[in-house]
Amino acid sequence: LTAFVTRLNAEKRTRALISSMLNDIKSPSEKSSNPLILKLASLSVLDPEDRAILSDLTTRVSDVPAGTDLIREGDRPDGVYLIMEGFACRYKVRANGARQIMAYLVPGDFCDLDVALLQRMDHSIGTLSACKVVRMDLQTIQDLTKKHARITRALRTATLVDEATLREWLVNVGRRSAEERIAHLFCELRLRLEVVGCTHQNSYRLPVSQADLADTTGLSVVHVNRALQVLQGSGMIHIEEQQVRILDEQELRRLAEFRSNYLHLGAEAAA
Amino acid sequence: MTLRIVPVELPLNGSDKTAQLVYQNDGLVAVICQLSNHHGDLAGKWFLEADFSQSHVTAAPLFLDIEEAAEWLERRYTRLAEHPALQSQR
Repeated sequence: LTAFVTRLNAEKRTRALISSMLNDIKSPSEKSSNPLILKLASLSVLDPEDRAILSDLTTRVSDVPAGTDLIREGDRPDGVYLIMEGFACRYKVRANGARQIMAYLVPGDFCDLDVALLQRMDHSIGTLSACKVVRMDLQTIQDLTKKHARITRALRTATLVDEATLREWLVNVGRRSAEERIAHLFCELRLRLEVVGCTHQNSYRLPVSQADLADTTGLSVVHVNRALQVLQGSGMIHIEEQQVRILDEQELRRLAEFRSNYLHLGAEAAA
Repeated sequence: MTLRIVPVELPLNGSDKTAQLVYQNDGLVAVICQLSNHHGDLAGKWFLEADFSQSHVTAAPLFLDIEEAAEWLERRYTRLAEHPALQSQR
């Protein structure tokens, strides 16, 4: 009997081990590919119920072509837009046609949780590339923020990070050289896209034109092109067909004086 | 108002070394620079590299040739002389 029990226990242990190994194998594929969940989970602790709610919220995805306004300056806010794929931006246009881009919205980013408090939009939001977008109506957002404290906390944290990013971009436009501005933007995008599973090793797709980059960094297209030549010539980056590869991240960060503290990543790990 | 153009080289300006100093009377008012073949479709066009009028230009167009650049600058400086604070940047 003792021998039988010993064998049984050994078998149990083996089964448990196999099961845990299978889970290990399964877990990468089970890890959400939903960019909103990935982003919010990087900012705050979410439990499985929160993830299920967020997953339900993001089922109705619309395809939006590049260069389409989701909402324009002066419009009455009609919901919160969430980017699931592609790049969108916040921008303003002057009477003479000059455009300034104030923020990129990458997968997992949304605009703006408390927009319902505003009567009219004070800026426009448009797609830079073809995007997959979810529009959540204002009632849905109000229900969400009333009932789900952890999700609300994560969404509000994301809004604070958006503001911190805007401050960093203000430093970029006001006080950095052309090369430093581009380097800083590329360092930031690498981290933001990594969180939502949109990087491959040191590469990511940057589906924007040089004119878009110029309007983002407050430079002329000529200066953007020159800065890109310098960064590529010095071996820090390589760009081919809208694919940015960061070859020397340390040097790129040093040039831009890039510190990722304003992105507040890794909150879940710290919690 | 007539602008005078004097060729110059910009040795530290990457591949965009070919440039022209733009004078109004005896004073330097701008530098325009021809884009090298590092600029793809824009190669050969002229870029307002520096503008020494009191307001900084952020959105000048690219010019097909030196004449077009000179005409644009003349219009700009005429407007500037008439309405120093109201000159359009485009």
